[in-house]
Amino acid sequence: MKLIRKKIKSLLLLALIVGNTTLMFAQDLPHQYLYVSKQTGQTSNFHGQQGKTTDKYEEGNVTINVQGPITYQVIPIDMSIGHNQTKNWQGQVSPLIAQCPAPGNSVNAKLLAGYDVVFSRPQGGPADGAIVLSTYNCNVEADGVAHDHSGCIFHGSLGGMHEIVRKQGTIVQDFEVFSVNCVIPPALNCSDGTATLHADVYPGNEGTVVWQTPFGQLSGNDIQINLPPNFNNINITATYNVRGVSYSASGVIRPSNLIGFALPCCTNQPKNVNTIAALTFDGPCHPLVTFVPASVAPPATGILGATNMVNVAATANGVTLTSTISTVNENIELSTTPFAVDFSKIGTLLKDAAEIVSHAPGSPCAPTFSVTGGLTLTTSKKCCLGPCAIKDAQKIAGSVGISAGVSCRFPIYGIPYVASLDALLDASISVTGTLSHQTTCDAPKVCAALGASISFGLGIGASIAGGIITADLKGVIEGASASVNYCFIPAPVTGEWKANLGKIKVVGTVTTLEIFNYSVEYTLFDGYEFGPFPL
Amino acid sequence: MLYNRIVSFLTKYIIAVLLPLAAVAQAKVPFYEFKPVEIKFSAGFTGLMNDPTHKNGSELVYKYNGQLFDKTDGQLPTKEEGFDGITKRSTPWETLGELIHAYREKNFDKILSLYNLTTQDQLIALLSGDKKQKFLNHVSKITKAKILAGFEYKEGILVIYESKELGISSCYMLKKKKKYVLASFNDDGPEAWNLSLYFKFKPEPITVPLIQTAVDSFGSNETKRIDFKLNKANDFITVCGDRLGQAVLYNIKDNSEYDLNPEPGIVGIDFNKTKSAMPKEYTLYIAETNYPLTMVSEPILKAAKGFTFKVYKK
Repeated sequence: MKLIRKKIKSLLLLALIVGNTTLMFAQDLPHQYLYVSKQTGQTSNFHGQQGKTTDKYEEGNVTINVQGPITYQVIPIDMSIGHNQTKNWQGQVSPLIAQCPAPGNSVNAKLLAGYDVVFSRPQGGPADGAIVLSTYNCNVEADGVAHDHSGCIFHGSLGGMHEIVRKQGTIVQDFEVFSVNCVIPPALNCSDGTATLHADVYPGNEGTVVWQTPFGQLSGNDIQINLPPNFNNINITATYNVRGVSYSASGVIRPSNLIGFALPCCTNQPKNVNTIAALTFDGPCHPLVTFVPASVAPPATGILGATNMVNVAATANGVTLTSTISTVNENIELSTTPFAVDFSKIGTLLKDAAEIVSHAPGSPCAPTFSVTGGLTLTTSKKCCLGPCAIKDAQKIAGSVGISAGVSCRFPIYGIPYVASLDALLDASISVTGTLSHQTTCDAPKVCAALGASISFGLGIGASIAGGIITADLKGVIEGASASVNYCFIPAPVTGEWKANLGKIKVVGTVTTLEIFNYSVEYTLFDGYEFGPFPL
Repeated sequence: MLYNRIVSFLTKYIIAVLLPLAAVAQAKVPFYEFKPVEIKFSAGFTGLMNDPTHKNGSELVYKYNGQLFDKTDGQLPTKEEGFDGITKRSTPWETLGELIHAYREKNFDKILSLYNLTTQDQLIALLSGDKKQKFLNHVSKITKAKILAGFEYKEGILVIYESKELGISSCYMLKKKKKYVLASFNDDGPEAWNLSLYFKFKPEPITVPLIQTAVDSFGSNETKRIDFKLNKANDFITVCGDRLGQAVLYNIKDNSEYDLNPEPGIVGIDFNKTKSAMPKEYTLYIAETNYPLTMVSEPILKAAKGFTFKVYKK
C-alpha cells in the first residue's frame, strides 16, 4: 500500500507546482496570504518548484484554473508527463492588484488544479475513485511477456497481481489577498511629555512599522519617545512593511492645552503633587508639566494644618494654573478629657440574672461592684476623601475593669425529706477592655466589645436532724458565657449585654433518718439566655 | 346536788374506765395487705430524677406489689392511744410502729434493736459523741406518724411515712425469721427518690391563676407589680417563657419570703425590677401547681395561660 500511495503522491505533485511546499492533499493545504499595496503597487507572491520522474506505467496531466484576483505562471507551461520521463516545473501565484479591494480590506481567492493520472498499483487498491484499466501478473510485464527484470517489489519473489488505474480529481489551494493600509490617528497619546507612536495598520498579522521622526528612524508600533520640553507640532511618518509590500502615512504630534488643575482638599501624609493632581487637557497628548512646589507635607508637630498653594505649568504651551491643598497633622490632639461611662448597670443586670436563676425575685441577694481604670476622649482633625473634607475625629482610649458579684440565697424544694433546702448562688462577672478606637471618615462612631466572663456557682448543703438526715448536694453548672458591647460615640453612650447559662443540675447524696442513702441527680433547668438587655 | 354528784361520778368513771378501753381498741397497727398497685404522676416537677424506664409520655408510672394508704388510713398507734411499743414485728407496719414509739421515748437501745446487726454498727458509729443526743432530740419531736405506702423493693420493703413534725421519710426493711427488721440501704436508682417526692407533694393537676392586676403596658424604666390570685393557698405560681428546657422566670410559693403580697392565696411579683427590659411586646405564661417547677416543659405550656404586655421605651 505504501508503494501505491507514493505513486499517487508523485502524480499529484503536478498539481502543486505552484506551491513551495511538498504537501500532498487538498484538504491539507494551508491557507496562504498574499499582500498588495494600492499605494505603491507592490505585491507579494506565492511560488515553488517540483520535479517528477515517471516509471513505465505512469503518465498524467494537470490543468489549472483560478478564482479571485490572482494569476499564476508555470514553467514549462506543459504540465503533462509521459512514461519513463523526468520533468521539473517552477510556479508562482501573484495578486492582480487592479482587482484587489481598497486599502484596509481583503478578498479570498482559489487556485484549482485538475489532475488526470494513470499508474500501476497492487490489485485491490483502496476505493478512492480510481478506475481499473487492466491487470497483470507481476511475474510477467503488462505486455504479457516475462522479462528478466519482471517482478514487483511489493509482491517479492512470490509474485502477484497488479492493476493499471486511472484517477482524476481537483486540488484546491486557498488564498486571502490583503490590501495593506497604514493610518496615523489625528491625535496621538502623550503622558508627561512622552508620546506613544501608534499607527493603525492592516492586516497587522505580520510585518513591521518604521517611523520617520525629527529625532531619527524608529521601528515598531506603540513605541514611546520623549518629546522636547517646548515642542509644538512634530511631523512624523509611519511605513508598514509586510513581505516586501509597504504602505506609508503621515501624521503630527500636537500637544494638548492644559485647561484644568485640581488637588484633593487635604492630605495627612507627605505627597508628591504629581501623584494626587488631577489635570485636564483638551486632547490626549499631555505635555510635561511641572508643579511648584513638587511635594506637600503635613506641618510639624504643634501646628494643626496649613493651606498650600500649588502651581502647575505645562511646558509645551506655557499655561500655568493654580490650586490649593490643606495638609493636616492628625496626630495633634486638640483636647483630651476624661470620658465618663456608667457601668453600674452591669452589676444590676447580674443581680437580675442571679434572681432569675434562683427564681427568687426580691431574694436577699448581696451585690458587689467595682470599676477600675478610666477612659479618655481625645479630639483631633481628620483628612477625609470622598467626599473631601476636614472632619472632627474623636478617639476613645484607656482601659476599664469592671467586677460585679452577687450572692443569692433561695430555697430548693426538690428534696423529699425536708420542706426546702437553702441553696446559695454565687454569680460574678468580670468585664475588661483596653480601648483605642477612633472615629473614621466613613464611620463616625466608636463601638467596641469588652471582654466579659461570667460564672455561676451553686452551693447546696445542709445537715439536718442533728446530722442524721444529710444532704450532701451541690449544683453543677455546665458552662456560662457573657458578652458586653458599648457604643461610646456618638453620645449618649449605649450598651447591651447578653449571657448564656448552661444546664444546672443538683447532684450528691441524701441520707434519711433510717439510713436510706440516695444517689441524687436531677436537673433544675437545661439553660437560660439572658438578654439582650440595654446597658 | 345529788344529781351533780351522780354526773361527776359517771364522768370520772367514763374517763377512768371507758377511755383506756377505747384506747386499747384503737392501738392497732394498720392492716398489712400487699397487692399490685400503680402510682402515676406528672414527670414535670422539680426534683424528679430522670427515669426513662418508668416514663410514659409526660408521666412517670410505677407498678409494684405493695400497699397505699389514703388520707384516713395508715395512722400508726400512739402511746396516748394505749400503744406500748411492743409488737410481734410480723408486719412492716408493726416494726415501724415500734420505731416511732421508740423515737418518742428517746429509747436508743430500742431503736438499735429494730435494725439488723450491720446497720446497728453503722448507727453506733454515725451517732458517736453528742450526735446521739441530737438525734434523739430531733426524732422525739414526732407525735404521730402515718404510713403513706409500702412496696416490695429490691430484696426488701420500701416504706414511706410522714409526720407533721419531721415531714416525709423513707426506710427499708428486710424480713428475717418472720420478723421485719430495719436495714440501711444504698439506692442508686431514681425510683424510691421519685416516689418519695411524689408523696411529698402529691401533685395535683396544673391550674391557671387569675391575674388580679391587669397590665397592658409599662415603660422600660418602670417596675410593675402584678398580683396573681391562686386557686388554692400555699400553691406555687410559675411564670415562664415558651422555650422548652429553659429556666422559668419565677416560681414562687404563696406566703414564702419571695411572695410580695402577704395576703394568703395571692402572689405578688415585681416585673422589670431592674428596669432593664428591652422595649418590645412580651408574652409570658402562668401556671399554678402544688409542687415546684424550675424548667419549662410541655405539660406546663399545655396547661398554662399566656398573657401579653408591651414594654415601651421610656
